[in-house]
Amino acid sequence: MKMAVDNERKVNVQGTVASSSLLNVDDVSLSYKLGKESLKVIDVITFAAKKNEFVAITGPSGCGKSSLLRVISGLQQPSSGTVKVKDIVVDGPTNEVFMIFQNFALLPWKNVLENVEIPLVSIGRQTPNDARTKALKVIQEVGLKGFEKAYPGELSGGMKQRAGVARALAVEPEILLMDEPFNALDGLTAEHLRGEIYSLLIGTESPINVVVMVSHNVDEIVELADRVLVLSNRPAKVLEDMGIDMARPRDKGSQRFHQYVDKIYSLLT
Amino acid sequence: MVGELIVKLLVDTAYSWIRMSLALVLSIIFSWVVGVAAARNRMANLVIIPVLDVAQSVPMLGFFPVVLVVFVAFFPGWIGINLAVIFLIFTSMSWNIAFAVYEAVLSIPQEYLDLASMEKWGLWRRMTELYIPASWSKVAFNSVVSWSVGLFYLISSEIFALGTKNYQVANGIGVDIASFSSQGLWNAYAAAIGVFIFVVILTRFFFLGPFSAWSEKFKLIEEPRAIRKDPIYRFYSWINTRAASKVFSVLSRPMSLRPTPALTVNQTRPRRAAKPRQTKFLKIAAALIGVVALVLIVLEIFHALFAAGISLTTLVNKMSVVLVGLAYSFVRVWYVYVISVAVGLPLGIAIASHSKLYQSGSTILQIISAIPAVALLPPIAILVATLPFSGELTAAIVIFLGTIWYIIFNVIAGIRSIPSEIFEVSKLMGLKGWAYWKNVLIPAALPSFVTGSITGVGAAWNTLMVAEYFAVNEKVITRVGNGVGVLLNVATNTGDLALMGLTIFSMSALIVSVNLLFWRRMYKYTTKRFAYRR
Repeated sequence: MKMAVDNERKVNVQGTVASSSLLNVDDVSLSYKLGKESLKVIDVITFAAKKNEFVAITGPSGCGKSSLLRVISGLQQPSSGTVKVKDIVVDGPTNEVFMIFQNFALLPWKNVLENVEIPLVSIGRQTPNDARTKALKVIQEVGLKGFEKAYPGELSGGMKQRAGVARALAVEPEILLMDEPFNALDGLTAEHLRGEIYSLLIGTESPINVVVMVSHNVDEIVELADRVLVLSNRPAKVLEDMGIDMARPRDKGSQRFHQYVDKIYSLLT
Repeated sequence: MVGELIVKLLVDTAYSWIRMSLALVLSIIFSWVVGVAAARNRMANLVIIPVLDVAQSVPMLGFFPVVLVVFVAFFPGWIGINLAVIFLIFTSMSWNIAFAVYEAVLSIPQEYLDLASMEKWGLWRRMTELYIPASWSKVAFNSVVSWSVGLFYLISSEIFALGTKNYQVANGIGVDIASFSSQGLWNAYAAAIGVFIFVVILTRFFFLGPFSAWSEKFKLIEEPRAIRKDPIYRFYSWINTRAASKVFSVLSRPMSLRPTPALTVNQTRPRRAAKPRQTKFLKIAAALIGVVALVLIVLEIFHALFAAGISLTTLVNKMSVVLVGLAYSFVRVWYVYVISVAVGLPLGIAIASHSKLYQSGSTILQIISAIPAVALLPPIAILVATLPFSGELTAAIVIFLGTIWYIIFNVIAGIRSIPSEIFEVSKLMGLKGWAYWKNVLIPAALPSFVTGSITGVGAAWNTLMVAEYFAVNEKVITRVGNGVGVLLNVATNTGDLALMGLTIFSMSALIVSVNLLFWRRMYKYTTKRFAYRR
């Protein structure tokens, strides 16, 4: 695992040079107030992500992975520390960051097309005509052509998540967060979608520059991520920041793949 | 003397509470019989479920005059009056408990039924060892709901009886509330309201709460601990204690619609669907029997009326009087409902979507809403007495107070049952202000808003009976120009059974038709299009 260590050092060096990183998470900590006591969820976490990097975050259940994503998105303010996107401090939801949710979070009363259009009109301030054209284009990209008028309740889990991906693509965020995006899907559907998602998100045509994915599926992480942060039990700290250096598409049968999987498992247990 | 007053109030509350407790015991026994029969016998099911469905949707308070007259005819004096009050409270309490038993018995896992068959258990053994224990927790939970519903009927029936010539209840907290206010004893009135709220809270926390918690251990199907601890789930339980959601537990199932998603979390779906072909035949048979029974009843009524010397012309005349009164009441219910929506929908959404407002607001609302609107009628009547249309205004305010809670609480529950991701994604999508309300909050509230509206309008019709006409010892304190509440009071005082019967019949027919033709469609549409499903 020498190469992984090298990678880690390289990242740390880059992390200190703010201008080369799109996303900087600096000394972020988070505690919730429960009555008089306060519950520390995130101890101190620092990391940075550069252009075209796919970062995975994993750790024991309830360790604060999802909370970290919410802090990055601006939905949750950190107790201390800062999150910067392109050197600008995040103090609330911004146009630069969007999220894909475990349970899709589609508005059930809007059809696929409307679900994809809403953020375009409200964030992008696009004219309804432009929004429509853009929405139809991304819906086609994710393979939902013909289902524009379908309501989320009429779609299968995989199709719902495709709609979630379409909505995220339409927003064109610099940074895309994914909170266990394949967890609510059955195994086969998840595998299909995983196979397509990397090229959709980090492809040459995609405007998305950084992906941060929370997952506890180790195979999934090794399949997709360029780098994985393994977090400790609550309060969360970074136990290991490890690069996954394999050519794509990745061969799940290869020895290297298994080495990475074993390494992450050993860190988790 | 303050001490004497408090003692009197406590004694009278005890009288009222004895009526309530007897009605509750009666309701539970009734529910076990009817609920088990409906769940285990297909024929019984086809008769019981529609009857319960209609019964829970018509304002039972309208039947009170008839019940009074009938009971007093059989048991003269205070026994008959008290039995009538208890019976009325019983009718209001039993529907949702009966549905709860029905549902609990249906969802008994097949292994238990197999065990009972293998052991060759008789009906009694099945009741005591299977059906009753299996339904305990739901019965307890719904008893809390029923208690709140019953309180409204208790106060209303005591107040209603006080306005009549021959049917006054001697002791009761509702009697105190009405009679103190009619004599202008406002301090005593306030003390009565205070004692009432105090005992309501006491009962809730020291009797019904522990009862409900204790019966949890009878649950056959354990629901995940996380769900029970979820504040939203707790909120639902609390909301249910506030009468609002008869419909949550009741309306959705008997109409064979989907249960509201928030509740499916902790309910297994009935597992044995009846075989379609056989059901169709049985349905036709049941419908035939129903029609024959109805024709016989109508014939019998006419026979009795003609025997009593009532001609067809007087009947037609009375009917026209009834229809005019009904039109007035119908318009009254709907304009007050529209006002309640205009206030309650935005208020409910605002409370549910601001966590600070929710935390402080919900407790305050809970306490205020514990007071039955009719108990507030006397001071309201006095306050607006000098204004033009004071009778109409009093009725409108009281009906408003009886309706709006259903809207507010259901809207709050609806919004709180939406998973937080929806609100998170809305923020990320940059939805703010009106766009946020239009695209997220209002649609999210819609299904439960419709549920609240159905119960709210039902409550409005009930409140109407007292709000349209309020008298103490035959002294009219407030009344509207025309309406079914006025007609029923007049009919009770003059002993006009024909007028009474026609009023109740037309009113019930109108309400059931509106439910079938309008509300049921709204409910289907909103739950199909707007309900959140994973």
